[in-house]
Amino acid sequence: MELLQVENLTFTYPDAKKPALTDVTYTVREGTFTVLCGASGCGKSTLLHLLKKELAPFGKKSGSIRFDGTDYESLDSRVSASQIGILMQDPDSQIVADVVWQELAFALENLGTERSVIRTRVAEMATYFGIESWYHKRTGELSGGQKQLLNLASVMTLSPRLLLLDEPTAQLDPIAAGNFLSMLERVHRELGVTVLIAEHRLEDILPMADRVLVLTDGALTLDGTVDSLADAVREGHPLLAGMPAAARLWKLLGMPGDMPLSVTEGREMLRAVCASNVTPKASLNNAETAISKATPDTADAAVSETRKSKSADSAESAASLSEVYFRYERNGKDVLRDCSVDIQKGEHFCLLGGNGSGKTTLLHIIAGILRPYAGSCRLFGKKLAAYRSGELANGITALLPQNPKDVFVTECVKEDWLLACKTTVPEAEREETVRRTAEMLGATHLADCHPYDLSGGEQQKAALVKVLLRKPKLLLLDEPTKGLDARYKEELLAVLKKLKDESVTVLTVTHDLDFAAVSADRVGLCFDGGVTAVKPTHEFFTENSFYTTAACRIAGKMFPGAITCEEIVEAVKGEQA
Amino acid sequence: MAYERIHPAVLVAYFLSVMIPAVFTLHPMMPLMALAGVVLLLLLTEPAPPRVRTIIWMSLLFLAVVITNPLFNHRGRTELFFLNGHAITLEAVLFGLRNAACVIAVLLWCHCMNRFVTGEKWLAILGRHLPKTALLVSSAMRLVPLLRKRGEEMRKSQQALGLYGDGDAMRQLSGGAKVFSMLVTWSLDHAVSVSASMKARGYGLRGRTTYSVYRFRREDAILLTLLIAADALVLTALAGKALSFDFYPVLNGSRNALTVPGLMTYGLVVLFAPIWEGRNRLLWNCYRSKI
Repeated sequence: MELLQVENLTFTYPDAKKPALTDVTYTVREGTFTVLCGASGCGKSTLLHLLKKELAPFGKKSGSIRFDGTDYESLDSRVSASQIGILMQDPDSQIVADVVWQELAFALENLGTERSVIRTRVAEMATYFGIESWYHKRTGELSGGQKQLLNLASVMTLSPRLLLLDEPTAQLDPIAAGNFLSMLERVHRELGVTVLIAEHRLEDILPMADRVLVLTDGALTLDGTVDSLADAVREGHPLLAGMPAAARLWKLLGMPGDMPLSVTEGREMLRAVCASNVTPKASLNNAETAISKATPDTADAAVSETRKSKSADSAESAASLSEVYFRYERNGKDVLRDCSVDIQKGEHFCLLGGNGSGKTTLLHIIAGILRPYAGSCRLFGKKLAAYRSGELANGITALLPQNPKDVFVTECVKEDWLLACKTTVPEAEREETVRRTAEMLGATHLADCHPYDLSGGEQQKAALVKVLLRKPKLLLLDEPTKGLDARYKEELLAVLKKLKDESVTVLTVTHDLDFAAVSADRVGLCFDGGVTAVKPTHEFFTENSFYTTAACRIAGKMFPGAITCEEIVEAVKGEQA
Repeated sequence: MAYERIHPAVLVAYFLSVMIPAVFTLHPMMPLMALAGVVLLLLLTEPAPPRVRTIIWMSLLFLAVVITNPLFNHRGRTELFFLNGHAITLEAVLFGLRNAACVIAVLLWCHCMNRFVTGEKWLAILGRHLPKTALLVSSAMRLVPLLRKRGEEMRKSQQALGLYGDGDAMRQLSGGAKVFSMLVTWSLDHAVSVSASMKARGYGLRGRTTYSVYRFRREDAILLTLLIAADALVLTALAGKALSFDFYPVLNGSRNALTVPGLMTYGLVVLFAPIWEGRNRLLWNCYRSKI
């Protein structure tokens, strides 16, 4: 049965030159799980908001939307409120009440449900979503993942038939995102809710999906099953960069047959490749030599160089912390305990680790925002405490905070960029620097917008431009890839490469293993208040079997040493040669 | 905690029945009983021993009230001694003592009320009759810590981006103003998204109900009835001047048939909380020993 029918939907925002959506036609059947993908700013949000009558943006609309056979114009507001649920990106800005149980009851209260019914329904939801243990907590004390789960539970109290989700995991770390998506799948599977979700994390979401819709610049360019995505990917659709590692590998190797999505399927495919070639023993050796040839040698060379010189010259380190202790409250727990790490000049160092392992705290200490209570920190050979206030932020370090909104202090992105430039430089020159930096990141079109009007990914971009304009010697990035689509990640990689040429040191805190694998020179793992297992990137990922990239897990024992899809491909080619 | 199971409305009614009579009569027994009751209650329920600072502050406040009254108030017949040519009278000293006991007792009862009746419980009481106000208060209570957190995060990030310059006052000031104005923008932006999320979940439809996790049980009904009966008696005694007391010119308490029953009832009300707590504790120990 068709739950949702969209016909020839075209939508133009007021004052916009071209429509945000053009001639979109599709139907969603009851009980299906549909993924809506496309690059940032392609109209995904607009489309989802138009489907929720209460949130439909103002503008010129033509075409029709029908829900369960009823046209949207004549849809009862009670039906719309209770049967269509929507979840947005920012977990914080959807919570109304102060305490969790109030939030859970909110939607039911609005519909005038009786107290006894509310009691049952709320109890049911809290149990189903595992909220019981924090049922009486204040909503402000919850973690981001818990907040988004609460939002989902709160929408589900009305037992909607259609659930619209607008990148619900963009602000979450991978573990919380995984939890959220598996809860969503459970809701879909067990309660039979129809799901329409816009999401970047294709790796996790595609195995759940029945159907995929691809939006390109406001037009629907693909509508079909996950398998039908294969053809598009084979032809090099821009979506490719965001596909799971197995699928990317499948395309890079030009394999026939079905597109693999999971690690297991990818490994099977690779095994088939190996079997059809020379004997495994020989291939293994070949592969190893191939990898050492194939790896981005600049990075490895830099590492070995720095490693050689490390013992000889301590002035070569950009930041060095030794036995640092830090806690937020006097009677609190140590967040950093006996933490020592050395970041070399000119390298890109990635700090990985779980939530609450002290990664961000470490970054803040190096940025001079927080002060450790014991231990010593040196930046470029000079004690951190010896820097005058404000000196550090003026050309030595610059921090891209976790929340890009923190970066902006004016009503216009360009004004903020100009503010970041050195005041001693003449105005024309400042404009020129801003233009060049924005161009480098492909952010020129954002210049005249209000920072809060941008999407999460665009904010991240604009914030990075501002941080780069500070011209730091040591760049500190806190989760730079959060909420970004694959295309922007590539741009970010290019920027990092350029910074390396200018010998800017970069310290990144991230959850994104794939990003670390392709960009870092050395990797450290934050754990239990300290930094353990500092190793060159390749060594780090190949020695780990669990905490490693999907490509590395696919390559497994067949191609040890390969940690990205490209490296596996090189290895396979080397073997065939 | 024995108070967790009492309905918030009954709790609030109880605290008001303790505090109001103590303030509205000059009878010295009232604040003394209130003080005794609250000290017992604190001994039974306070999780940690009070900090030395708290005790010092309380004592200073007590002394200040006791001393200031006879210094500035020279009414009363029984002169104790003269200070700068002014008489310090016994009546004024006693009146000061009574006032000090009253202030400290009310402060401590308020402290207890704050601990037992949390913000969430106030809302449950409000929600029944003023649903809109309750929702407003609830979202405001959420917004305040959120704003503070956002402000702190913005300040830190801007410090790391050099907005405040190298410590000169003008830059600091203009930077602070910029962050503040952005915080205002953020809160407006936040309000817009929250209201969208409210609308999406049917806020504004007619016939909104309110829900509360607190149920008014049989025990609550019994307690409330008893409390109302006790209040009626105490208030009648108050209105009938049975609990009136004059300090000036000489100590003089009026007495009639309601004086003793009034004082006793008030004493029972005041002692109810510590007794209830003690009883529940005993019961609990009893049950536990059987497990």
